[in-house]
Amino acid sequence: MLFNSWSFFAFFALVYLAYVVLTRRAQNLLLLLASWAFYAAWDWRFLSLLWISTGVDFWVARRIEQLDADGADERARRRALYLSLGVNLGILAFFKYFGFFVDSTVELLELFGVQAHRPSLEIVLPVGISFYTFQTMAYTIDVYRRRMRAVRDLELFALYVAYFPQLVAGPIERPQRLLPQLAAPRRVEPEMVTTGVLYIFLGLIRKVGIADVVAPMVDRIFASPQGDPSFTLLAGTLLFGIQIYADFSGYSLIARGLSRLLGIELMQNFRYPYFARNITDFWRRWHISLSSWLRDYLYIPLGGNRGSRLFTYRNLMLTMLLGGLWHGAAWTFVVWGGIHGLALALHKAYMEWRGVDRKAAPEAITWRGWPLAFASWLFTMVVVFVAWIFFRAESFGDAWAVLSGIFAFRGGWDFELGAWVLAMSGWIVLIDLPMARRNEVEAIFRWPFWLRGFVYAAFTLAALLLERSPDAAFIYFQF
Amino acid sequence: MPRSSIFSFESQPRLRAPPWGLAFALCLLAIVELGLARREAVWSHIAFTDVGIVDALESQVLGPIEAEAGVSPRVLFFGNSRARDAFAPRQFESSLDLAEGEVLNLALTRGTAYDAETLYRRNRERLRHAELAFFGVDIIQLDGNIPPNERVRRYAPLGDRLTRFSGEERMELLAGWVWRSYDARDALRRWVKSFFKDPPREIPIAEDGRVEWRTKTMNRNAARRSMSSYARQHFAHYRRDASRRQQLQDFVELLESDGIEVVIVQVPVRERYAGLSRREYIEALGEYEDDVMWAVGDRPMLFWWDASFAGLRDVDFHDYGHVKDPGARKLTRRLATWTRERYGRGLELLAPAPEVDEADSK
Repeated sequence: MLFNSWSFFAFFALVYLAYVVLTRRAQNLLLLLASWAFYAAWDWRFLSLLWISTGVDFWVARRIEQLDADGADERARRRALYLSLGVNLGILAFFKYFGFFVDSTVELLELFGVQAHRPSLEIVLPVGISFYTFQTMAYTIDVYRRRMRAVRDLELFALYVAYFPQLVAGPIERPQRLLPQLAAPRRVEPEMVTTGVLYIFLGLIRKVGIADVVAPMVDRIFASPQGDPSFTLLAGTLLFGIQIYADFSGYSLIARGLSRLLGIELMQNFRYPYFARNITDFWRRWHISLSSWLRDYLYIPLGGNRGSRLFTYRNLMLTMLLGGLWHGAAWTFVVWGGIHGLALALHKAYMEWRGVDRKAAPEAITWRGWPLAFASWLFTMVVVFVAWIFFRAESFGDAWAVLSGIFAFRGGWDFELGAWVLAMSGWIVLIDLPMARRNEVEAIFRWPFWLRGFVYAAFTLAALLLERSPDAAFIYFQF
Repeated sequence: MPRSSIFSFESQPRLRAPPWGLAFALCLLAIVELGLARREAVWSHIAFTDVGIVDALESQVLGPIEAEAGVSPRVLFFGNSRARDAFAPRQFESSLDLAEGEVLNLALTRGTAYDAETLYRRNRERLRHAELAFFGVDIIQLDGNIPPNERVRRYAPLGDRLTRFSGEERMELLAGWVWRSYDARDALRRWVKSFFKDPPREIPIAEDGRVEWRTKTMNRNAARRSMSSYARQHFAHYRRDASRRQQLQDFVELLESDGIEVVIVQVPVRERYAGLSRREYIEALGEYEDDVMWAVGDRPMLFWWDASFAGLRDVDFHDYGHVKDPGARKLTRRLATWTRERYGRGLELLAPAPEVDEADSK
């Protein structure tokens, strides 16, 4: 049941009608049942995994707190935490990475001339498993770190894990942020309804009007990139960058919009990342819920920057490599993470060399600073888009064919493809720029009504009329 | 907690201004809806589209019949693109000593049983006196993953949308009925494009009576694809769908209610594709066969899955199952022979029908 399907529209309408007439307690029960039904619509068998994650983390957190109260030593608390991590990461490892590890091991053995038997076990990847696993682990780790109290209401915790607007592709919410909202009586201000509808509208436009439109072109180019003209490969790479941004940020925006209608605020997951002027800034704007999760639960526990420079670079690299692997069980994703890790480390080194605080936001652009700012933005985008090639390609061979093909300067122009790149990037800029300037989606409300109305209608018609891939699922569902 | 506290409209200042932007947008969309999407002109006569082939058949194949007094169709072919390419009406007529115009190939590109029924109902007065109909069945028609095509969006009445399709399709078709711009999105896009480039309005009809749909580019692209990729596309995710089966049964019953004998034909596929389907997708193939059996019951059926059943070889195919001209001649000859043996040279044995030859039918 995709957010951009009519069945989801009917599902949400029914849930919402019931939601507004119920009390807070009954609302939570309704949301929980609706969330499970929503998940079961993908594959009811995997509900059991959701329940296992929920049950284990609920019990472990309570146990950790109990051990605290009993004055038990740290090792007992840690053992309880390991149980939670073991179950969650075990489920993730089996369902997501089993085939990857087996294939990699067999290939490694074959390198040394050992013929190994490859088990023919076909494991289906449960949708959203990476997202809800990280969300439940964040809760248990935070209880272990004594940053929050364990939840005593199983229904409330189950809703925190399964809350359907963000269940299958995030944002990965933090317990301190989502749980209190789910526990408290909801107040939906009129502004939340109007902005919620606006978020849903803009999210749908991104998904249906941009991502699904460029998807068939990207698929065609990446299906057999060998020997294609350089311009085609470059256009394919640019279009994929547009596709993945429109697809994922569209999903996140719809999720936030739906949640706003329910009176619950989800975190901002994208902050106009293609306007970033350095790679550190890019990661403060792209998939914010994941990058902050990796920072808090991986980078900092690894030691963060509390050591030598090399130690810090190692931690950055490890975090991004694992972040790459989080996206998918393939070495191409690891390389994608590696490119970003390397770029982040180099940027950190450069900023330290210049004596500038890396965490500070980029300076405001002055007239004199424009060329440098532009060069900085362009360089960042080159790194990001080169990394996208590995993210999208089916294999290293394909990735290399695209990358080397772009720089082979093979002739052959495809004007239609060029026009699509210009049109789609133009559309992204048109949607994002007014909002990026103030970092708020609501900027559009300040426009005169006729311009607003015209934009709504034009976007709707454009999304309707552009030829697109039918039934294209959101890209991040596979992660 | 009182339910009114969920929403704070009562306790908060009301919206300062009505949503004029939204209202203005709705006005603009209503203009498109009423001024374009609900007008017939937006759908009309652009060849090589799902709707265009219906227009072409009605104006270029069925139209002339009405003009010619004394000619009434006796044998009809329905199905999808594989049936469209496979059966040559003029050759069939000469094999059975039938007059020109008595055999019509009305198979539609991407045609399903529901599409065939739509075409038949639209032209029922012209076609109801036919005596024999062949329906070219195909796995694509019964696969629940294949969404309803543009013909459904153009022609299906509300009742059909609600009762003859399932789940998500029903919701989408209902949305399209309410918001016609959504239904007509492809037609609207073509309409916009037609201002920049005049589209073809007619589909050529070959001398042997078949629609000439295929282009050289299509054939070249089709030949490039491997049989395994076709087999994977058709079988790997085959999803049984009760509504599809029911549509096939409904169409067969509709023809029978008009006194037309119906024969189901499985248009053959290439040997390698057939072999792959049996080796790697035997479960899906079995499900598909069961679905056909369920819909067809004990009616005559020629399940010519392997090309060799009809004397076809690899060179007779463009791809996994669309035949070239020589293949169409062989297949038409084979079917005409079977028809002659079963129903007589001039179809004089048509009623009552004898038992089906075991060797030919599955």
